[in-house]
Amino acid sequence: MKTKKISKNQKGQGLAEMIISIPVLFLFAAAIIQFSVLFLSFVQFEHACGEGAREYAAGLCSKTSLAPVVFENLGSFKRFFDPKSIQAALQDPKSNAAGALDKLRGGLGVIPFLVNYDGAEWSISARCRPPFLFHIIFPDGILFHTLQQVYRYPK
Amino acid sequence: MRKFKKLSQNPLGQILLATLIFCFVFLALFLGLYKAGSSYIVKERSRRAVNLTALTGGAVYADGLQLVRESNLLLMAAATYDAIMVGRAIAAALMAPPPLDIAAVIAAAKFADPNKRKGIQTLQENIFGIGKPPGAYPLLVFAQAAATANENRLSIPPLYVYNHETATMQNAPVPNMALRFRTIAELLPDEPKSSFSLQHDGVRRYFSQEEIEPAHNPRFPKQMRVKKNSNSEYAGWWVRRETNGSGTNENQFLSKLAPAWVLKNLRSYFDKFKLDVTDRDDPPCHTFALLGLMKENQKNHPNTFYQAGETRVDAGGLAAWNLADPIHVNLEKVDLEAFPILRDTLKNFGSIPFLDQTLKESDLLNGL
Repeated sequence: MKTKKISKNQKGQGLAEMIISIPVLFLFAAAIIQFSVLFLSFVQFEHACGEGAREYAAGLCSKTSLAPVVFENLGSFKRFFDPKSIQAALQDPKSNAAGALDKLRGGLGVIPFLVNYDGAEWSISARCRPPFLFHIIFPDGILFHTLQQVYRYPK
Repeated sequence: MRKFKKLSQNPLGQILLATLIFCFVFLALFLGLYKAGSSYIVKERSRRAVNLTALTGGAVYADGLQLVRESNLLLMAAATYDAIMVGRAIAAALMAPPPLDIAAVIAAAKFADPNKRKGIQTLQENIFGIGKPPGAYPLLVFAQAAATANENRLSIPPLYVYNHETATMQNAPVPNMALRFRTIAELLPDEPKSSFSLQHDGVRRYFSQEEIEPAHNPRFPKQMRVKKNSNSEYAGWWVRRETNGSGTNENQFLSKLAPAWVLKNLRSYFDKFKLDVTDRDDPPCHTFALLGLMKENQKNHPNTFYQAGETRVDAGGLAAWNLADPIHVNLEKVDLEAFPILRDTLKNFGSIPFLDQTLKESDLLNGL
């Protein structure tokens, strides 16, 4: 009865419109913020992978222990990632030239003291747990993926 | 237009228009965010790719420097063997019954020299490209870096610059390891150097031995002057010999050991005899730099990102006795101001309208 009275009033109409529009406005604003967070998560993931590779090049970790290093380098974005979902799989180079150079290195490596540099190519993937609005659209999370290769001296 | 006016005066139409504007604004915001976000991702990816490629080039380069040390060790072993053979021949010639024939001793020594050094030095020349770049190993540095650049999704084979701090525009892009052969002449004490100076209006100017000549003054036969035919603004001015500093003192000390002309002739003779491989520059300069390019594959408006990366390889020394010394590969923060060759090249690119626009869109020219 009271609502009917308000809606007939000019002021009441404005209030009713505002009550309807403000949640929608906030929803859009939140979506934009969460979209930015999603992008920043991906940028941070790329950065963390690069830092991991640099740590490998500096001899601070081994070829097979890159995934925990990548997770550590995610910094404040760690909460958007599941540590178990981060995988850094070693893979063969895509191009024939890189493959041939790897074979050459392997062949010459038989001779002692000749080849003392080593490296790898990783296919790194991680599942991002998006903020709540995107979680509705992507309940299983979003899979981020990247490739990178680096060599280091000494082995 | 009348229809639109009518719609805007109707409350329902007003709501519809407001909703449309509202949706448009947010769609534009989303699109802008998406575009900026994707560009930022490519920028981060290109920076990472260039750094990893530079590190890879540096790692292979460092391995090459260690190989130089190992080859120098082999060279020393060969030189020792040669010296033993020559020594034995000399000893045999000296043991011969008198009178002592010096010419026969020299001939015996020459004949007995197996010169095993030569083979190893030729191998070093060809492998490391000493004196005739590019050698096999610098080409390996190039190939491995190019392959890694490709694996890291850099769009085209990047532009590589080798040891740019001490290189020229011509030899910086040619794969090289900034190496040379040390000669026996370098083991002799330095040629006497004098430094000369004159003071004008309270400002002292210094001149090297090459810039001065005798003043031809009979009253002061030792008086020197700045070369009369030189381009110096002080041409023909008298100079005085510096008494402090290393130049003159060293000169006095060395002149007691041997006359200057003897040292000079000995040096030019011994300059022909190559020893081991050493750094081209002192202090040594071993850097590997690249300019990489990554393209963002968007349908209508492709974005291109240029990034520069550089690694410095610190070896400490390349002699055989440095074999156990560690070699460090350091990723440098690229400062284009300290990158004269690249800076000049990019500035030249700037005069070409198309490239100028491309460079302005990238973040490479910041600070230039």
